[in-house]
Amino acid sequence: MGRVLGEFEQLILFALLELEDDAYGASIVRTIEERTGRDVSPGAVYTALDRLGTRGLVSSSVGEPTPERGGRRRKYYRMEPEGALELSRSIEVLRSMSAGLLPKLEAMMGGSGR
Amino acid sequence: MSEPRLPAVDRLLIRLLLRGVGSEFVVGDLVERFAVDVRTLGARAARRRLRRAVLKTALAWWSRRAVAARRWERVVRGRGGVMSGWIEDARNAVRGMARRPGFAAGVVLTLGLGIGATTTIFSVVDAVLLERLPYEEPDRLAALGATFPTREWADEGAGRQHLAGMSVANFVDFAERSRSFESLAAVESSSSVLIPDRGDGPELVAASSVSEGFFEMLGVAPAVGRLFLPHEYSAGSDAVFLLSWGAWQRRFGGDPDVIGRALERIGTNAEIVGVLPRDFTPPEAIVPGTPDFWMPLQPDHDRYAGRGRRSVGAIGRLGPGVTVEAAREEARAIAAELARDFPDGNVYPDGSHFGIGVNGLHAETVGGVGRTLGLFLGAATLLLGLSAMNAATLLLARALDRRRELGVRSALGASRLRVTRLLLVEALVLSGLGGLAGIAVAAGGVELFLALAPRSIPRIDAVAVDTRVLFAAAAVTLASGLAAGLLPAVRLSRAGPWTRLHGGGRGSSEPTSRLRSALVGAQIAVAVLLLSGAGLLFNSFVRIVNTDPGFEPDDLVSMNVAVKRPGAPEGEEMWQAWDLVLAEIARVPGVTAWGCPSNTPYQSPKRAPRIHLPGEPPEKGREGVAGYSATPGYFDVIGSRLLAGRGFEPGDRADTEPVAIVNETFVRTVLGGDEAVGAVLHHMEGEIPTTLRVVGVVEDMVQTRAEDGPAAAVYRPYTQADWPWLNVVVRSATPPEELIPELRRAVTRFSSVVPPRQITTMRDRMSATRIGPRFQTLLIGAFAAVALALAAAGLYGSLAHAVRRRRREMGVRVALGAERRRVVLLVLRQGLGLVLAGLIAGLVGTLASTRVLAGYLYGVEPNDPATIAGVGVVLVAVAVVACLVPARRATRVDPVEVLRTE
Repeated sequence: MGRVLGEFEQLILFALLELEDDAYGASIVRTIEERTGRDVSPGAVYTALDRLGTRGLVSSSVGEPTPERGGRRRKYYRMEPEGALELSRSIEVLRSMSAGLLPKLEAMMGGSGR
Repeated sequence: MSEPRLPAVDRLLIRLLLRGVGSEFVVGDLVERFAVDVRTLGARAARRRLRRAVLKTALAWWSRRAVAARRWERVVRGRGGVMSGWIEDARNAVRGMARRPGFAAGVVLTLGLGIGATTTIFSVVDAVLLERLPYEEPDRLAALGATFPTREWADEGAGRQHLAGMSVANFVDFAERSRSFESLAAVESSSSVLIPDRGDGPELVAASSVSEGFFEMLGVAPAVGRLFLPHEYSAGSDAVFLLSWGAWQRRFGGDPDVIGRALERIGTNAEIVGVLPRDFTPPEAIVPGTPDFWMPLQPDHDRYAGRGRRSVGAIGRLGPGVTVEAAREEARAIAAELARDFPDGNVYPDGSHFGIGVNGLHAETVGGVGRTLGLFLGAATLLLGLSAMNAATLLLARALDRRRELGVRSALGASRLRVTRLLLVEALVLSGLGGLAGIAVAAGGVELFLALAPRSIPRIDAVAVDTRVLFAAAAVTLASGLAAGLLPAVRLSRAGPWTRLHGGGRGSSEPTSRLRSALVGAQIAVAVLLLSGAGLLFNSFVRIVNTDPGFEPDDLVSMNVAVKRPGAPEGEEMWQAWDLVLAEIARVPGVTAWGCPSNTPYQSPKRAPRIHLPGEPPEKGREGVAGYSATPGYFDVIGSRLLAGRGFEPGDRADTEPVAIVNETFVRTVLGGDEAVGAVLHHMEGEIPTTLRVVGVVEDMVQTRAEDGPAAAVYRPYTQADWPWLNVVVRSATPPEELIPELRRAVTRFSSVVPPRQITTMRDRMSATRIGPRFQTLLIGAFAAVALALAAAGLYGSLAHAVRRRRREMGVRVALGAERRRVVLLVLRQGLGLVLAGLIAGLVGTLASTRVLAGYLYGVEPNDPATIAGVGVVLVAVAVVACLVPARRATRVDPVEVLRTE
């Protein structure tokens, strides 16, 4: 189905996996930031979510207004079965490609002074 | 949990940038993240992160939109629709920017500064000059007042008369005879409301009396209670008050039961009958300050009987179709009638008489500030022009680097129009971002302006970045985008594809180098113009600060104490009561000396007596002589030196010979340098002629403002001049924050005097008069600094680019054995040639526009050689630095590497 997931898209799908029913823009950003230590731009997250939505990998629904965001509503995202399939495919690709090679990689990292 | 408040600037940014971007959810996420960040990272970091997120989100969204639009367009119109190219170009531009963020940031920043400066000043101009006054049909409102025979015009060119207070009797007769006005009302501003003790003694509060019809004319309805009833505008009726909304909130906590409450007022009690609405701002031109209390003016009251008391301003609503000029003509005629019918108090001894003047209310409100704002707007526009040229230079350099790409495009069939459009759209996209940056700059700029600007600018509270200002900013943005983009676009698309393909990437002669040089030179010229303006203002400001005030201003505190009030003792008795007050002040711990003038230095003198010498006809009376009264100790306490004769003595009393002390300028200008002590002066103050003998000469003191220059002054003993108030000046080393409350307590102990006002140190009084010049210097100085930085950046960028493109040539030169020094000189010569040309053009411009600044300078000629030389030195120094960096880079070119890569 379509093209392969990009790295960032994978991160987002993982975040949806972790957050389950509580996945919306800010919480997704926070999760990725906490887990990867990267600074994540909300804009990039929306773009990616939009793309994933068009491909039918995630779906969204509108929640209730909450006070901590000044009475604005949240847009919640959920992973669709298609999305889960794509994500596991990506992981599978990475796994089969890396099978048996990780020790080598570690050796190289060691060799370069780490 | 309460709603997290975003800073105003960010709210504005979000509104502007994220409109339509699935807005609610996205903004909500941003707000939520911001709140978390504030807790974990602190407010500053959170704001930075928020701003970055807003910009990135907007950028991501807009580029996504561009893609979507293209897709949609393909579906709807097929390839080649009218818009297809534009959107593609825009998308291209966004992609290009992402590739060269430094270049994009440079253009956005430079345009943002120019647009921001212009927008800031425009928002002030908009509120002060362009916004209509907040009353019904404001264009029909006019201000009226008395005009002096010798000084009718405030600004004759602009058709604005100089209006002074008029007598109530004249107002009443004028209102009866005039046909030009639908309604007329008089306003007397006094400060005669005593508020009961709230801990630190009774308080004296600003109040205004208005005659019948004032509130109706302005369309004001009371928020609570009622306005005045017709009979309350007649003497003898019960005293009543209206409260301003502010006073109601501040003093009564908005209590609706305030109606009917009594207030102590000087001499009598009065009842509060109503509260004025919150949105009512009294017309500044007629009602100075914002009075807390309003009273009915009763024209038939005894105190308004004579025509010598010229204490009211007037406001009128012109009849439909009546112009200010027509009303002015009628007022002139009526004033002549009044002078004939009631010469007493209207006619000077020389036969000339007071006139009645009429100005449009808006013109009277804005006054001379328009000229200053025009100056600021001019400076901002220069800065905008400079930033557009700077952006154009950057775009030109960028386009030059893309010649190969553009060549390929046209070789593949892109028309010249198409290539032009590509470059133009890129410029417009950049200027659009520049405009957003500019609005952010303006949002901060307006706050800064309000914090620093003198409060005397009329209607300054209405200044804000509003929709109109945003429209103006958008127009400026579009214009600067076109200006910056069109030149490079047209120039670059001119050459055919072959030359572009062939010439791309190297060669020492550029088709655009002359255009670029001209742009850089023009930027330098504009910077020089702004720098010299700033330099002149700065020089003038330094001179103002360094003016010898004519006294010792340290450790002085002054306060204004009124001694006369209804029911208070008169004459000799009053002075005895007054002496008791002064004795009390002298007992305040730390006070080492005290004395009283009618007005202190740096406070405008309230009286202008007519002085003439014996043998001169009275009509030769000297105008422009300031009149003061003083106690014996005054010159000592203030530290002003007596140059000849004696000071005032306790023996100078109401029943002894009238004497006077004059200042140096008086001796020089009025007495022609003759021996002053012993000279006799005829003195006319009001209608009472007196003969004065000069007993002493005192140093010149600054009267109102240092920049007014020295002026003649006559001092009389306080016992011989009929003065209703005095300013007490005390010298004390006690810190003012301890001294001032003590002084206040000492004076309020006496029921015979009104509580003191305007208690302040002399140093504070002096710096208050400098706020205007300081602000002008700061503002133009800031513009000049930005201009210099932009011009230097333009010069640097242009040279650096030229050096990069001439690497091959430099490499060859070095390979052939050219000394590094010579290579440096080559680049320097190119740069400094531009600098010199720009400098000369800028100085010519400065000299041509000397008149613009002439009115703002004190002690400095607009073509001051020292300033001009200073500007030259600063500019050349900055320019040399800007040239040296690329020049040194040129010498580091490795010939082997350059030749190999070719």
